[in-house]
Amino acid sequence: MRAVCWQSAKELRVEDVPDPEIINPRDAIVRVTSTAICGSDLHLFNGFFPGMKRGDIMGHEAMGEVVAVGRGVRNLREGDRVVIPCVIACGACVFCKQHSYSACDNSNAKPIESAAVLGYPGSGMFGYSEVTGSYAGGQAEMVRVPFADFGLLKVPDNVPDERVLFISDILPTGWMGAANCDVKPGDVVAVWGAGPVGQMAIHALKLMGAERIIVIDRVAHRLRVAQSAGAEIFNLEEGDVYEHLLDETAGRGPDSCLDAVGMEAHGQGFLGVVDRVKQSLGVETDRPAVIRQAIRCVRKGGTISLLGVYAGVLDTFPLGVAFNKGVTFKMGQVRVQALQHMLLNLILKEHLDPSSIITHVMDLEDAVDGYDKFNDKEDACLKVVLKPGLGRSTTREKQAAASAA
Amino acid sequence: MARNEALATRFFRDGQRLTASITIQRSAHDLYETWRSFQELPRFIDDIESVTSSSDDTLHWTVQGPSDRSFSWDAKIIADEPDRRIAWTTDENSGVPNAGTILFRELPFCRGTEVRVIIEYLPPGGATGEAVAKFVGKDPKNMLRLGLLRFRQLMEAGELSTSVGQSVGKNPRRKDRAGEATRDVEEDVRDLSKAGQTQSMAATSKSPASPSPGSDPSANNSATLGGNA
Repeated sequence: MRAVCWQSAKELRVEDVPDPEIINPRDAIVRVTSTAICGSDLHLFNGFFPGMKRGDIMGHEAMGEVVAVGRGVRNLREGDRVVIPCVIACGACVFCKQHSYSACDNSNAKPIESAAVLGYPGSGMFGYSEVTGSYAGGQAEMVRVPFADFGLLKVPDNVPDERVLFISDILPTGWMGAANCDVKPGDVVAVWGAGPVGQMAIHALKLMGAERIIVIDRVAHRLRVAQSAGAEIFNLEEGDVYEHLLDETAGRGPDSCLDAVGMEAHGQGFLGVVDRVKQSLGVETDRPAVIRQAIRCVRKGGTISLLGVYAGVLDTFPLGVAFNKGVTFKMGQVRVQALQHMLLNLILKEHLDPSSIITHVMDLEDAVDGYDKFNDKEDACLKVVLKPGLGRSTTREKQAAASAA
Repeated sequence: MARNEALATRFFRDGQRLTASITIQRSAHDLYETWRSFQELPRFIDDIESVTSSSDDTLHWTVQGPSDRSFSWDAKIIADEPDRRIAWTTDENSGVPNAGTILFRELPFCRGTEVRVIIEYLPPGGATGEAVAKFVGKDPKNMLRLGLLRFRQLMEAGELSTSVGQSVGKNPRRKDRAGEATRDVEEDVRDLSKAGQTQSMAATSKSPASPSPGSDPSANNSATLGGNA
């Protein structure tokens, strides 16, 4: 089969690899129909995250059709249409029993290696280095899904891939970030970052009844998408965020601040590598500045919800202000399996349509081009969906060019 | 209390001592039963080839040593308190003197069972020492810890998590490609822990285990509205 394989920093290649096989009794093999490039894939792409090896298959947002199940899987069969949660969870450990699936004790195939980086063994995840178990990712024609009997979400045949694909990661991530804002009637919520996760959070905050959502970013086309989703927008290139938010709330400050700027690391929570990440990304995303800003802006007794990687910057962390304001911090890696059924229902009942953020649908063969566009935010790129067999070398652009010729 | 007594007991005056512990969501009884047969150990501890018994209180250990050589020794069970404690030690004249204790303590309020393992061995020297060094790995604590983590995987999830043997792209240096069944944990950990706080270790992965009653396929239905919603 074909798969997007990591080679080295900034170098991916679509290669021929062996087809996946059932290894464990609770495994399933899924033929991928759609898979997306996540902001956190850019960490691996840019070489900021340790534990990738040449040949590792990328991708943790995928869906498709079950083509084989292990002998321990009794609730799935060939032909089932499924979304694959990015987090691998056993469903049986103490944390899974408490719905903290991203803290699963048993799903990481490389717990000792994981602990070498994190200080504890993190849960398993698809396509995200040895730190999460070296599981082959979903940017491929097929993928092996461990603990398939617990994780896989069955979806009906009549809903397009584009509408349910993001249940794999960014939709529950944005939802969890929004839920962590603890929205109450009348609340004003400020969201830093209008990337894919920020956009998902906006949809979630609206459903949760936030009175006003003010989105801060510096990329104009992303702000426009946020605006069309019903948010107020502020381009931080055009003024001072603190002054703006305090003015907009007549001196109170937002009731909650949601930080989705760390989207390139959303939901990972890999504290041990933060220094490296900060060093590598500091110039572009100015990460410490965002959390400082959120602490400064949030109202007294307000809540700050973190979707990004933030520990390790204690030297620049205004703890005193946060303490005196009585700020509540909430954070954590996405618990996909805890939210996926509810989110599917919201989509099927048309309360939610996350597909509106897709800007590029490409063939899997064009994945490298997709990574470049997403990484450089060129061509108004906000979200890339890859489809195996869509048509060799036919991106949306080339299709348009071909039909024009 | 059995636990404190066991922790205080030393088998060898000059022995090296290793301890590791883990909490597992199974009853002390289930965990004790699985461990007591000893035959299950090779499933989750990589370098153990087999543990057999000719009677109720004797154990014959075979461990994979360097250069594909195997090393064997006899041990006998010297303490056996059902659901609480098992202790064993090699014969006095063994060339590979070692001893071990495993303790089970069920926590109140359904918090699972604490499992604590104590291994003692005489410092390696000569050919037999080599075998022990290989048995316990270069960082024996990691080896023991990995064994317990995999014991938990087996007892809770019903299978051993693995990414060995799955699809990977071209890389002739990899040992975990489809069809190949070895990987080098030592190398991985060395690459990952630049800070040097984690010592390396050597271990060999084996093919996955069959399921146990721990697996619960019906659990999928209970995963609806979770703690965050």
